[in-house]
Amino acid sequence: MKRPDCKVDTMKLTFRIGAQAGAGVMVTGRMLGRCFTRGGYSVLGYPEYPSLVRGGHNAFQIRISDNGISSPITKCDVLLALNKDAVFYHKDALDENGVMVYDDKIDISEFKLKKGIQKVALPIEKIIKDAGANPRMANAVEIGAALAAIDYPLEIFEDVLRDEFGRKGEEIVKMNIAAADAGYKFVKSNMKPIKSVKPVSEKRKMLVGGNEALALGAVKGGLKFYSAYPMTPASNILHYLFAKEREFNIVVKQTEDEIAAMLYAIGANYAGVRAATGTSGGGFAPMTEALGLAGLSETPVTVFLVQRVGPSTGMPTWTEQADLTFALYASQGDFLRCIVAPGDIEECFTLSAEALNVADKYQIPSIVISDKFLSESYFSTSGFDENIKIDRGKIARKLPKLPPNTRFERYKLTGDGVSPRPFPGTPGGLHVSTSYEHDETGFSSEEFSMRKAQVDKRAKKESYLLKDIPPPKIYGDKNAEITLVAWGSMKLPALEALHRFKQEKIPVNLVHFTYLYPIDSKKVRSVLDKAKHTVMIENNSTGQYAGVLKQYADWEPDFLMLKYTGRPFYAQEIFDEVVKLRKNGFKGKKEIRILDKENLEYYNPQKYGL
Amino acid sequence: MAVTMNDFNVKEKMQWCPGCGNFGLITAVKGALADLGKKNEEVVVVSGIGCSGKSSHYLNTYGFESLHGRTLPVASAVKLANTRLTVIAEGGDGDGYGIGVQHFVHIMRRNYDLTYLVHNNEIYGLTTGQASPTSLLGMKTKTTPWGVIETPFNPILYAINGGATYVARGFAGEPAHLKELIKGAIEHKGFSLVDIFQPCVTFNKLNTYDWFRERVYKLEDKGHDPKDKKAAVEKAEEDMKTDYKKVPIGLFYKEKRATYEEQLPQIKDSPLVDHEPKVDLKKAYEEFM
Repeated sequence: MKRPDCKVDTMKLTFRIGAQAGAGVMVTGRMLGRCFTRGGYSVLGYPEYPSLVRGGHNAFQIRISDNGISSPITKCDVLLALNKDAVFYHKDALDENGVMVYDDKIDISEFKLKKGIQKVALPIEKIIKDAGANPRMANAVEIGAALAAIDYPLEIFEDVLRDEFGRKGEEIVKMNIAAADAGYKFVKSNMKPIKSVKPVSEKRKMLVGGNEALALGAVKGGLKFYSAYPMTPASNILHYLFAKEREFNIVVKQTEDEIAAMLYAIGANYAGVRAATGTSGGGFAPMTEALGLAGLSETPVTVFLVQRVGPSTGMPTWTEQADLTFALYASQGDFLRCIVAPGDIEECFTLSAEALNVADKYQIPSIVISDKFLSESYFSTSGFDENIKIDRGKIARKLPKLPPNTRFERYKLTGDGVSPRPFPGTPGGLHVSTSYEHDETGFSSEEFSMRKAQVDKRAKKESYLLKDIPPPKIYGDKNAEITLVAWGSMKLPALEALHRFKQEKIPVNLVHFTYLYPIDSKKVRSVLDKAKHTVMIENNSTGQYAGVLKQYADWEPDFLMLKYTGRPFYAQEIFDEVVKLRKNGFKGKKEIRILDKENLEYYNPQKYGL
Repeated sequence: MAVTMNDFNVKEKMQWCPGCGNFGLITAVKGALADLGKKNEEVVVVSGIGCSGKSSHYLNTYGFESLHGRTLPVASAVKLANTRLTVIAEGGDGDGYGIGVQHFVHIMRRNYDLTYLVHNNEIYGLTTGQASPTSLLGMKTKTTPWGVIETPFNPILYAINGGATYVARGFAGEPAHLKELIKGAIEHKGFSLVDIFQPCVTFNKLNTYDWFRERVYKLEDKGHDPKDKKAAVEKAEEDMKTDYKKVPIGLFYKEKRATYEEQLPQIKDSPLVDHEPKVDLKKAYEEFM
């Protein structure tokens, strides 16, 4: 038999941690993840939680592999159940060769688990007491226990604890290590490890959250000012930048609302400081008037728009890709904007920096669209693209003296539509930047010819910007029979599905968009027209980007696969539907709407009698 | 060469209604800038929308004409970006006390070193005569045909209690006095509000120049101590309490408090605009390993 040409993963493993909201699942999950990035593994950390501070259920999925992983899956091998709800919610996801490590206080007698699953009742409270640790160190016990279940060296976790708590003193570190060690030993002596997992490399990877990568990329791209109003799932861009404010030597401002957040970013950019703001859809709504201000005044500004389930309050902590057309058409009047959507952790970093360059170079708003899935998940990476050059565009730094009582031509009608921009303080650069239509000096003008000339000048930038924009990228065999089309974070489940297709020898590739708008129809069509059968995947209910491609590139997918339950696509769902389509000779309804197989909610556990 | 008022003129004609209070007001601003020897390029005037919005066009400084009600967030960021600049925000009563009032409330807490001049004509002028937050009780306008029934917003009282560190009121009919108040505001280190009675000769038939001249008096003439907060509050309420028989103008209140920007070590000694961007992230990466 011919060996398949794809490299099949030799090791893949999934943990789930489930607990009551507020019990620290995210911290536990992230620390567990670090144990594996330190062993050279690829790691994905995917949190799911309701919009509650206490009550409700929180879950964190950690997937590890030695050959790259992309997206969460529906199954797990190790379940860490820290309350009864966790057993209820996750028992069915547990593989029959898996293990459930649970707090021994939980009565599991009412639950039926698959045959073959090992069960370990972990006496967390007793272990902490015996180890002389404090109850807040329960997560050390749990992680120790999880590592024992797969026979992974505890020393790596001890190092993580040293780095995590070192600044709190040797005593705290010692207690944590003792707790971890006790949890580890308890599990070792009470079960047979389901696998023996060892580090694959000395080379540590990083485990970075999507929002952190956006923030890091922005700083690498010269960001010096960030203003925002807290909103899930964009808030941890703000948190991270605040935490690093002094180290990065930047200024971060929490404003009274999103209107102010946007205007602060515009004001800072006007004054010559590269600035951005960030929010989710509900906060982007109050920003829209000022988006147009940036458009007309030609003040660069960058907005991180981290989507969640809408409209309105929607489902605040779940994911969706349904704010794209909102971003595309936000604010009154015609003006150019650039929209980019990273698809993975490295693209979060790179596109964040590139969006800042685009804003400055073309003096337009740029919008980086992410979503809860990409922004709040954690991903391993070997490193980011450090080869980023800051391009401030046309800055007028040295100018000749102006005749008295005159202004500089800030809005000079130039060949490429971009006019040199002096920062306030620059002698010879006096002008007014304005929300009003204006003449070349910025002075309000309603003269028809000037109005037309200024509109045309601003619009002219598009053709130059389009030259900078790469075509969508193709993953997999160029001549595949089936082409998946996706944008932003749906790259992750799509790539994961490609692995499956390869294993099953079904020829499928992926066309992925990161630069969403403006659109060079020729460039886009040159890629898409090569595809035979196309299936577009969007995490929304209407196929927003399919509509945009229809409008701007006159292209339509053969099939539109939509999911809008609050979860991202699972690779399995994509795989199953595509296999079905292929079996049916690519006939059938154009729209395919996906519903999660497991129907549940974490918001109201009481409805399940929990 | 000494800076003169004329240095701040623009060539274009100022298109306010003949007799508009804005003429006296802008004269006072130019005079204050000249007296303080400000270079044109050191000054940024951020205006909103309304008749006051033209201020950024009619002063030969750096200008930013923002959206309606949105002067203060832009002005705040300009100051944070470049602490070397003299930042002046100019808006109207509708702009600053109506649609943009949330920014007014919060800027006082922050105490940025910038000056806020409110063109208070107690009416919406550019939109042709609707009631504003400062329109007096009983005043008939297009949107209050039976008279205003909402208690007028008292910006002076709000500012004193809200944390502004320089609170003054001027009258466009007294440009020399107003100029001194504006000079004091610009020189004051912290957030300064100068609320300026600026008669709208077209749409406000109640609060005319004569109406003000009969009522205003200068606080300094009566020995008011601007450091006395209690007295300042009393004076802030005097117009309403006397049924507008006595309307004080002048400096109500002044205090010293650390500015927002001097509490940020990042920009305490050098303006943010001068900083080289942080591009070496090695240390930051280590925390993720």
